[in-house]
Amino acid sequence: MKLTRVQNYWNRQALVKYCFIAIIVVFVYQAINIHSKQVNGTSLKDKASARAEQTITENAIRGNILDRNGNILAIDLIQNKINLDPMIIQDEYIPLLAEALLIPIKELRRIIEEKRNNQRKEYIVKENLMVTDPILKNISELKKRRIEVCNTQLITPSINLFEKAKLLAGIDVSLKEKVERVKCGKQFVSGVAIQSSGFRYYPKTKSTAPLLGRTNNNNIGVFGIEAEFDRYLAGTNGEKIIKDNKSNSNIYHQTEIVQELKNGEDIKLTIDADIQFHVYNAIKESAEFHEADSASAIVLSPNGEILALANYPSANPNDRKSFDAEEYRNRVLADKIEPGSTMKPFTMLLALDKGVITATEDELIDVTERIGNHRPDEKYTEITVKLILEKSHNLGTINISERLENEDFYNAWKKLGFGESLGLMPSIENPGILRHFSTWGLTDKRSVSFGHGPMNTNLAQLARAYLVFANDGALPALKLIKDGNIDTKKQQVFSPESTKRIAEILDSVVSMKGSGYRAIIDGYDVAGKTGTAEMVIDGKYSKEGQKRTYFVGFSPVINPKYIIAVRLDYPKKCFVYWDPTLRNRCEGSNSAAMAFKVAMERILFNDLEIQSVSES
Amino acid sequence: MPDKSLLSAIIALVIFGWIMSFSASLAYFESYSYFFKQTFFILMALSAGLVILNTPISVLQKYSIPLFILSLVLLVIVFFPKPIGHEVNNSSRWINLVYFKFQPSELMKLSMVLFMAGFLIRQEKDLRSPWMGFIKTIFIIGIADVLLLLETDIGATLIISLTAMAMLYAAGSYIRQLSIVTIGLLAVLGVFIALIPNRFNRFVSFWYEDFWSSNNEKLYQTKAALIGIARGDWFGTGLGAGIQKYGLLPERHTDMIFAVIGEELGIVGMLFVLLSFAYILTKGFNIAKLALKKGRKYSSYVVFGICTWFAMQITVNIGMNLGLLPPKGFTLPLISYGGTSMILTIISLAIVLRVDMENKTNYSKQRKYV
Repeated sequence: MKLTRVQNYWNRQALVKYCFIAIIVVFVYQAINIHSKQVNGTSLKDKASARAEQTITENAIRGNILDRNGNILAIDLIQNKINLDPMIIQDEYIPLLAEALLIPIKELRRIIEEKRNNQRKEYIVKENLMVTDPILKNISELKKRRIEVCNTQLITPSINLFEKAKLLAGIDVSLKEKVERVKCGKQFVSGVAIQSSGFRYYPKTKSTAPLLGRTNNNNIGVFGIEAEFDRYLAGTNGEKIIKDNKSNSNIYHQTEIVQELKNGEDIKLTIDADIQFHVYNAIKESAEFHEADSASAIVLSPNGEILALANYPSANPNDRKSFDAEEYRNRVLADKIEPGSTMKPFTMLLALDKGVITATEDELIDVTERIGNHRPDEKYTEITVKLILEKSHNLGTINISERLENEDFYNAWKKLGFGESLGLMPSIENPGILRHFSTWGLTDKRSVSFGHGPMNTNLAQLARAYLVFANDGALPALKLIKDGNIDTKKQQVFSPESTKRIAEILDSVVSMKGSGYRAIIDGYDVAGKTGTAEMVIDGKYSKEGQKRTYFVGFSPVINPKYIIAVRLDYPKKCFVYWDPTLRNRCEGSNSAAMAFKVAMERILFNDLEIQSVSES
Repeated sequence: MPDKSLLSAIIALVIFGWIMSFSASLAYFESYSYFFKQTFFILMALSAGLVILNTPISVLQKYSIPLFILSLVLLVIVFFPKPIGHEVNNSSRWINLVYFKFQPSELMKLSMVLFMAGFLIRQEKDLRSPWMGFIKTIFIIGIADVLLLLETDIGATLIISLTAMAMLYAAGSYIRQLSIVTIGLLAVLGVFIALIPNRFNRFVSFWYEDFWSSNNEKLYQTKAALIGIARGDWFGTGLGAGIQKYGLLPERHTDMIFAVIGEELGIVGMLFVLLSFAYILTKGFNIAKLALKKGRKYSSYVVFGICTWFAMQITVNIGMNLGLLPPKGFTLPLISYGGTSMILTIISLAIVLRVDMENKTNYSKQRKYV
């Protein structure tokens, strides 16, 4: 009886078995389902692969900016900073640390206390340290030392068996208070790290700032060349997906390159760092002396290469703490200006080419009659073309312009490139204006002949126009990037004979007879033309005598090597030639011409290829 | 000869576990020592299994009481100070045997099964005072439980108690007493929940709390396991190519080995393990049934006890690896790294195979068997 009862108990065993099989079925279902589970909108599988993968960006090294001779104008430097974690620095190390950092112990202690109170875990104590800085050496030596350090720790004493049993039985055992224990031992310093950081460094500082611009904190070019050519300079950051995937535990990463790291390209400019330096200093001194608002200058080589492009005021691009957009303004390219009398030589060239003047010594132009607003003066009745340019005579120029057609002016000016972008730095360049001749009124032709009216330009365009004197009347394109392929295509604007004649006249402008007498450089041939224009402020000519003064010139006169255009905005202090204390109205002749002289003189003195006339 | 298909399933799982625990331990510890140790344990376990395979179950029945007492003694020795006892994570569960640490709680599981089977047969006749017999049973389980609780080995305590209870139930003894006490315990539990809901809530919070948004450190292990398994998908990342084991997943070569399998071998690998265990245990339960049919109660109870123990251990371990149960310290039999566990698992399965062999012998021989 009893036996049969027991024998039937295998059904009870079977119950356990079937329970287990049911559980296994649930587990199989769960195992298959886990990867499609949704967690906060993403499937667990995606979440898992996101965790297993890591995208690492390798920063491309920014390309250098070089001058025509390979001198560095901008470079990425590796610099170091020292980062402290005040929360974990051992107190015993503070004196040693202060010594290594070359700062007073008290000061360091005070700072660390302060940071600790604010729970700061990071404090950059020194920045922009050159690799050779002694502080770095001190710190790395400090990190190798071990000194006796004591610290207190809170320790919970272990509980005995009886208490353990009580705990398990659910009886609350009053947990023992944590006990402070002082532990001493030799330790390395903790919480001191040397970190490296890239730093864009501009060795020529202020002389190049408006031209080169600078990079921002994210190493992206924000002004000038840095911004314009950012995509070449910046390179492409490398991007890698790191899959944690290898059985070797030292590096269990498998990298898959998504984007190849491409370091930035170097950019070689046509700029000559030395010339740039001289020119910058010349305009800076001049602007300070004449109390001008700003000054700018450009130096060209006859083949159209820009040797210098300087602006004042200018910032130190290595100083990241301050910023003023005015100090990064490239006035040479960005400012639209009326060139004034510096355009008169081109009026004469046009007239000469058209055969309406001969520009010889015996040709006299009558200046006794009033034309428009321009009244005759008592000084001259009949003057030569040479004298018109020497004295920058407006009525004489207008008289000649009356013999030319609007279309002639327009076509010539168009050929000279006015109103058209130079394509140097398109983002900041102001191409100026040249209104179509069909819209010109009665006075427009007259004013265009001396650089006003329906045309505007920038300083670079003006300087480029003067290249006709170095290229027998032809005009090459301007270049800022030295890339090997020299574009020799030139556009013939004026005949070689005419340009030669006007160049001779411009030579005499820079003589004691001409308005450019203050640009004379002893021992060198210099030609040029002064210019003065009333500034346009809020769309009107300034009534307060605010003027721009110009000087565009070149040297030597035959086969010129350097063409320089200088512009000063609103010079306020000018003096007469014979008395350096006697104030005079500011004009091209007594301000811009002087800046030109200083710049050209320094360039010529440093150019061994050009022999001074007295020596040869 | 033992049953070929069952033996091959066991050997296949052992080899599988050997490779997986190698993969999991090498990655993290950067040392082959775990691999060599595990190899040594497996060889030791197989030799011990071979010996058991040639031992009649009657011998085991004879020595079940001394073995149970020995296990109790060993559970006490654990608390001896160093160098005899060995403490990990503030719980002393190991006896230091120089080359490896012996864990008496694992031995206790088998001893309890062997002892309880004999005890149930001896108590069968004593139906006059069922309460007395039931209390005796509870007392025996109680001694072992108290010692295990002192070791803070709640996992082993639960397994041993529940296995003993299941055996009690399946053997048909003291059913009334068992039911009354179970209902009583449930009532007490109900009162406990009603009085102190906080503690209960904390216990069940695992199932209703969204653990992806919680920062509870205890759930970290579950999250790491689930992410690993999800990463594995159907075919896994490949053997040795898992990453969770490098530090994200704790206990990667012991308790959480199933998650490593899920990551490296995918759903296919997990199904292999699940179905192998299902096969082995179904087969085991059938062996117990057959033995009972043939009137060999002791063998039947022992095999049933062993299978129940394994079933629970596997359920809890895989359940926590799959995120269905809160993490607790349970190893996966045959697969997890660990000497004591491996040796006793193999010995237990050898007992199952031995019972099967005895089932299949002709009647004349069977008379000697129990």
